Order: sequence, then structure tokens, then C-alpha cells
Amino acid sequence: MRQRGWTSWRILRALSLFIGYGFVLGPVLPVVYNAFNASPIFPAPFEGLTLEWFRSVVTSEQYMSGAIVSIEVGIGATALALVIGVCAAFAVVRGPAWIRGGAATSLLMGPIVIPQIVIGLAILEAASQLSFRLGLAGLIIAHAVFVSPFIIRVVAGALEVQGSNLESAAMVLGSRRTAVLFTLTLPMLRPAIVASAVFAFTLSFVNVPLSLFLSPSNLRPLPIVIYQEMINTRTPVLAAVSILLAFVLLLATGLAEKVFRVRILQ
Amino acid sequence: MDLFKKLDFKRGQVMGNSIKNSGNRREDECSAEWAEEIAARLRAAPLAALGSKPVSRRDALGLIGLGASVIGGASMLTSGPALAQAAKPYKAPDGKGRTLTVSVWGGPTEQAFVKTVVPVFRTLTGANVVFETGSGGERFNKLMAQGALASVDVFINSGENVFQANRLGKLVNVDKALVPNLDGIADWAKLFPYGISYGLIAFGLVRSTQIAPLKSWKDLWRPEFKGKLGMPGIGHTQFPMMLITLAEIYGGSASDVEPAIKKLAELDPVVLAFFWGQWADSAKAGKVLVVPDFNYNLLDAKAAGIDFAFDFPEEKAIAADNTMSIVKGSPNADLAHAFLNVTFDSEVQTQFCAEWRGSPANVNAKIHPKIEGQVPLASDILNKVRFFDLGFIATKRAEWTERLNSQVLTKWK
Amino acid sequence: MEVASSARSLPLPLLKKRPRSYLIGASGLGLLPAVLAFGIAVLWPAIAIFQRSLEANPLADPSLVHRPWDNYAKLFSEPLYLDAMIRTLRVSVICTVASILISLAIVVGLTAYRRKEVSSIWIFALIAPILSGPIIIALGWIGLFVNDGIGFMVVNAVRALFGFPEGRVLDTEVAMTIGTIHFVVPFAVLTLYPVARAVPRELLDVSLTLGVRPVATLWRVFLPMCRSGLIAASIIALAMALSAFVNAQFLGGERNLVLTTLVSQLINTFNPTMAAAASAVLVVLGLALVAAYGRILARLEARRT
Repeated sequence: MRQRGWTSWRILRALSLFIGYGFVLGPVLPVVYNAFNASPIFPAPFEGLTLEWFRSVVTSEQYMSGAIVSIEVGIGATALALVIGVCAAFAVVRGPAWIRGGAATSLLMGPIVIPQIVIGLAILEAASQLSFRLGLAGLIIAHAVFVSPFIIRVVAGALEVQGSNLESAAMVLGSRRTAVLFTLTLPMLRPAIVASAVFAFTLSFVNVPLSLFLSPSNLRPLPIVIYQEMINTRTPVLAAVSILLAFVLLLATGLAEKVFRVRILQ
Repeated sequence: MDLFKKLDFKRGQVMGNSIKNSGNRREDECSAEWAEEIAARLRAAPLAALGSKPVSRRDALGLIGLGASVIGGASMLTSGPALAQAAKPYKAPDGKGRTLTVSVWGGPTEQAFVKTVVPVFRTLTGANVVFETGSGGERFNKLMAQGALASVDVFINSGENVFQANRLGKLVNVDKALVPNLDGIADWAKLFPYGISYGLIAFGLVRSTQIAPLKSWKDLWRPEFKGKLGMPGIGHTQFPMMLITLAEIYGGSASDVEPAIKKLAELDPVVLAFFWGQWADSAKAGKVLVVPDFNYNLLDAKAAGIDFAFDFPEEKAIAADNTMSIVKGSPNADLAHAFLNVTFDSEVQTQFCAEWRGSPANVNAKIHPKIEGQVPLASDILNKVRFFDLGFIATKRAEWTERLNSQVLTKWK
Repeated sequence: MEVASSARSLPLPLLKKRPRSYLIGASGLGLLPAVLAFGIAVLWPAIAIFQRSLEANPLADPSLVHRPWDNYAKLFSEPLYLDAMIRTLRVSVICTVASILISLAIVVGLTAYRRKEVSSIWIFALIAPILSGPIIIALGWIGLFVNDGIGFMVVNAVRALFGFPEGRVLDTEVAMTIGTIHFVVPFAVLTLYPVARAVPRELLDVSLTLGVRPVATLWRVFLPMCRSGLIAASIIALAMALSAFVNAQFLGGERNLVLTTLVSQLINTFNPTMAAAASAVLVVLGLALVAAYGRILARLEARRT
């Protein structure tokens, strides 16, 4: 490129990435630092290096079982939310005018703005009135409903950009609708679906307010365990658990990308 | 929760001598043998409740006198018929293949139950125990929302929450025939026919050991503590009790808390805390010298390097009740009663309170050597704490919170 | 939506017999699972909440007189509740604007003028803090904002710059806003990123070949092409900021109640009916904001195209 102006672009890019990543990763620093700090108080000045907090997490039954519950709920909720969300995205983008209009679209965003802490209680109450005992399934359904708006948004956005010319072409050439859907439309939507699924799983995985009232007594998801610890004892164990979590997820994503030859985040 | 192991380790360093030299017969107090021993005693003895030593008449009278003076008329459970009933042999329910769900605060309380009560209960009944944890408010709301389909059998919460739960018809009265150990429970602990306290903790003035002991709640307003003060959040369980106490000090009463509200607005706390962990870092940095809090956390705080002491104000500290109740419609009501019975056993109480660090509610329970001198016997502090009309406070809490929010928190910016 | 309607007007001689239904999803039946699920898990409980908001508090003094509209009257007259509502609006609007700016900076930096895609490590670095949960974000900011922490110093330096006195940072609206922005940013990035990545490199090349400088190309070609992503990201940011709970609780505390923390406080202090009224207001507020916002952005888009 002979063009002038690349220097200012490079400076701008470096600056924006520095500020953006600085903001997102800045608060990680005290967490990392306190996770290795020997002081049993969070946050505290440096008192010495320790791995004690990590040992505590790994040997803690409640963190480990919490992680398993969270993964189960996250996978279940993501699967269900994908069904709800992808179907709805088609209706929102291509359905009759009354759906495509603003009202229905904003109603689909409704769950996001509803205070989950109250809706969790209300769901529990509604289920009890029907003499229906909510187990993990109740938690999964609630999570699915509350993360599906994000899937609708992302998939609808992609569907809009994608248009329907290729589908029309395929159908003109004689393909059946189901074949078009499964071999053309959905594969083309794959990046958006995968991205929104990661999104949905994440949202479910970190949810506190819904799980607060809907998690069964003996199956506490990890965020609830952490939340209660945060209220009861603010300790470096929480810092250690978060670092382990991020590290394990990083490893899992990397491995999955290698093994399944997919680019999960792109 | 493993943190507590860590803290235990540290605690061991702090109080190592007392543990080593106490000559206690068991290193691991809550071993399977210990649980088996207690369970066998509970199973066999018709008067299991009285355990090793019966309540002396003098003790009982003294306690009744004290208890009655602070909570009038709460003694409906300890009258004559109790003795007649206790003569019937106690039979532990068979809980094989069943699960008892206990709703309790997570953290130290849950751990104390897990370490002491659960092993005995399991040995005694064969039933499994799971815990539902969360803050008092969360668990109360959950119970309220669940209607007839409550997921918990034993509901452990603050007296206010238990009172409200009963008001909504969610609880049953405790059947003393199924809880023979109730006979050993002090009168102050028998808050309601449906709610019995398992131990006493005091809420008073916690201060840095760098400063002289505090004498009065009024000390919170001393100029030298300005900007060095922590306060409980206004949603704190003990805030309304503190409000009443302050109202009385400053010329109001339980039905007129305005003077206390005006006075509180003058303070400017550094932190609002619901648990000592929330003021711990400020205390360590010397930014907080005084904070109203519980006495039972101070050992943990000390282990974490925060040297704070507890003072009973002359206007009395606040008795924090920790109440056990049984949920109506529970299919495990028999196990629930057995769980209460185990918790109220004098020896279990001794062990339990060593973990939990409150004062036992059973008059025959002792202070474990592990915490000797650090945790008082309930009878030693009964004249220094005050019990409140929990029903009255429970119905007033919503209104008071609203007023504190708008009149005090806006000033505490 | 533009694309969809233009697709519909394509000449399709072979499909004339079924002009509406050749488009997969045109029937709108896809809405069915969503309607069903939302009906069970949102609408029904929401109606129950509204009902409850009209009732007398069963946990308060039973002798108090109660009229059905009392809770709402109080919400809209007591300064405490009005403050909470205004703060909710203020914080969420600031969060939306700030998180869009920050995520735009990140996304543009990662995607513009790149021939190869960036390694997913970059994206993962963004969402890793989020994966550990909002509580960890709160914990991190607590670590920064404690007295004499780095964040404490930065905020107070900024305050001094504008002539404000030094003071506590934790338990303030500033801390709560920053924490909420942080919680929202990764989600905004994840929404924006696929759209920005899909901008054809050739278009930028054309612009550059025609002599437009890189920064100007970015502004006039790249950003307008990200518009749909920006719309989606800002709606998500707004909605998430409105209903953010954990950060508001741990970083703002009782001294800076927003509607979510207010609701939590109300249900924990034996005031479920007032909590229901506050939730109902939050729901209506949120739906109205999202609807209005969507409409404004749609109109803007229509005007441009």
C-alpha cells in the first residue's frame, strides 16, 4: 500500500485495542494476584506466595459438583434455547408483517429486561400452584427462555444479512425445502448459531438471579456456590476458582478447536 | 468451604496449646465412633435428653427467671407434661433410603451441622441429609413460593423469618414427644411453639483492640470514630433490633424509632457489611475501628489477622436467635423431629458450638476446650443481651427499611 | 429486514404458484416454540407478579388499610423509589453508550483491514472474565476500587481533574456503572464481531484505491456496514444493563439502589408486594425502552438507505 494514513490507523488501532483490552482484563489483575496471595482476606496486601486457595477449590466438593451442575444446565439450556431462538429468528426476519414489526420483536426481547430474581420466584410459585415439582428441568427451561433472546438477535441479524437469494436459487433449481434448509440455510448460519450458542451457554453458566430460587436444594450451580461464598466469606478462594474456571475453559476451547477442527469463536 | 479447613489450621496455630494440652480423649471429635456412641445413647435411653447430667433445679430456675424476664411467656414448651411424656421411651425413626432436606445458611452454620449433627443423625436413623443454603431472605422467599410443595423438611432461619413462615401457615408446632432433648433446652431458646433456637450469638460492638473497650451504643457517635466506622447493611437481620435499642437510648421507643433514624443519619460509615468478610480488608488497613457485628465471627477474623474484640454495650447487646422449625406437610416430619433432637443433645451441642462458635442452647452443654474462653456460655451472657419481640419487628421491618433507605442511606453517601 | 423484503420482490417465474411460502420461515410458525416457552416461563409469572403488586402485603401489619394502587402510588411519589428508577435509567444508558464505544474499539481493532482472521485467543481473552461470572467481575473491581487500590486512585484522579473531592469508590454509582459496563462489553463484542468480520475486504480495498485514507475508509465504509451489528449490540447492552443485578449489588450496594437491587432488598425485608410493583415497573420500563430504541434505530436506518 503506497497510501498515506496507515500510520495514523496503526496508532489508532493500537490505542483502541489497548484501552479495550485494558478495560476488560484490568480487573483480572487483582483477582490473579490475590489468588496467589497468602492472606486469607480479599483483597489484601501481599503476604507471601501460596497455592493453598487452588488446593481448596480442587478438593472442595461443592465447587466441583457445582461446576458439573452448571455444565449440565448450560448444555441443556443452550440446546433448548437454540431450538426456540433459531425458529423465532426465521419468523422475525421472514414471517408475516405483524411479526416483523417492532412490537413482536421487542416482546421477544422481553425476558432480558425482566428482573430475573423476581421471575425465578414467580416461576417457582406458578409451578407449585400446578403441583409441579421443579427439578433441574425447571432450571434448564428457565435458563433457556432467558438466554434465547440473545440467540434470536444474533441469528436474526445473520439471517438478514444472508438474505434468501441462494435459497431461491436452490429452489428454482429444484431442491426441496427441507433439503435447502438443512444443506444450505442452516450451514450458512452456522457461524452465527455457534457464536450465539457460546453466548447462550456463557449466560446460563454465569447466571445467578434465576438459579438463586430455581436450583434444587442439593444441586447448586457453581455461580450460586460462588455467590453465597461471596456474601458469607469474601476470600481468595473465590479468586482461585475464577482463575481455574477461565483456565479450564480456555483449555477446553483450544482442545475442541483442535480436535473437532472448528473455529468456535469465529 | 475448604477455607475453613485452612482457617482451622491457622486457628490451630493460634490456639494450638489449648488443643494439644486439653487432654481431650478424641483428636477428631466428630469421628464415626463418636457419632455411633451418641446415636446409641439417643436410641437406648428413655430419658436420652438429659444425657450425662440432669439439670439442677437451681440452674433451671435461674434460667427460667432470666428467660422469662426478657421474653415473656415463651416457656410453653417446658412445663409439667414434658416430664410425663419423657417417661415414654424414645424411638428413633427409620430413615433408611430417605433423604432429609435442611434449609440453612451456607458457610459456617452449614459446616457446623455437617461436621457434628449430620454424622450422629445418619448413624441414628440411616437417613441421608442434604442442605439447601442461601441467605435467610432467599430461603424464606423460596419456602413461601413453594406452597404445599416445599422442598425442605427442616427450616433453619432467623426468628423473624420463622415467625413469618408460620404466619403464612408453612410450619408445624414442634412435637416434644419426638424431641425429648427439648427438656435440656434453655427457656430463652424456646422462642415459639414452632421454632426453637439451637444457640445464642450476640450482636454488639466490635472494635479494634488498639482502642479502649466501648461501653455504650452511643460510642458509635464519638468524634474520633468519624470516618472509621463500619455499619451493618440496613437489610441486616439485626438492624431493626439495633434501631429499637438506639431509639430507646435517644428518647424514642419501639413504636417511635424516629429519634434513632435521625441519629443514624449523622453517622458516615466507611462500609456497610452483612458479614465480617466485607469489612475485613478495611479493618486490616486500619480504615475501620468500630463496627456493630456478631461476637461469633471474631475467631475467624483473628485467624485472618484482624485483632478485633467484642464489647457488650451497657444498654445490652442484641441476642441473635438461630431458629429451627419443621415445615408443614413434610413427608419426613419424623426425621425432622429426630434432626432437632440430635441437634439439641447436650454433647452434640458442645461439639456443634465448638464449630459454630455460638453459645449452646442446651443448659447441659459445655464449652468445648477448643474454644474455651473465646465463646461464653449462654447463661453467662444472658444478662448482657436483650431479646426482642420478633413478631412485632417482622411486621415492622418493611416499613422501617423504607424509612432507613430514604432518611438514612441518602445521608450515608 | 430490508434484505428480506427485497428478496421477496425477486422475479421468480417458477415459483409463482406459491409466492409467499417459497421463503423458509415465511409462515411465522417459527414463533411457536418461543411463544410457548415465553408464555410458560415469562408471561404467566409476569401476570402473577402484576397481580401480587396490587395486593396488600401479607407480611406487614394486617391492620393497615390497603388500596390496590397504593404500591404504585408510593413508587411514583416516594423520592426513594423515584431515585432508584432514575438511577436505573441513567446507569443503563451510560452503560449502553460506553460499552458500545469500547466494544467497537475492540472489534474494529481486531477485524478492520485484516486479511487473516485473528487468533481466537484474542476473542477468548475478552470472554474469559465473563465466563468466570459477574461475581468475579465484581470481585476484580472490588480489588481495584478498595481504598488505595489502582482503580481507586484512577477514579479519584479523574475526580480531581473535574474538581470533585476525593472519596470512596466502592459502593458508589461510579463503581456500579463501571462494573456493569464491564459485564456488558464482552456480550456486545460477541454480537458485533461476526458482523464486522463479514464486511468484505474488497469494499475497503476499493475505497482505499480511490484514495480515501484508512481512517476515513473506516468511518465511511466499514462502520456503516456494521450497522445491523451495532443495533443488535446496543439493544442487548441496554437490556443487560437494565437487568444487571450482581454488579449493582456488590459494587453499588444499598446506598445506590437500582430497580434490581431494590427488588432484591424488598423481597428480603418482607415487602413482596412492593417488590412486585417495582418489578412490574422495571418490566414495563425495559420493554418500552427496548421497543422505542429499536424503532428509533430502525427509522435511522430507513433514512440512510
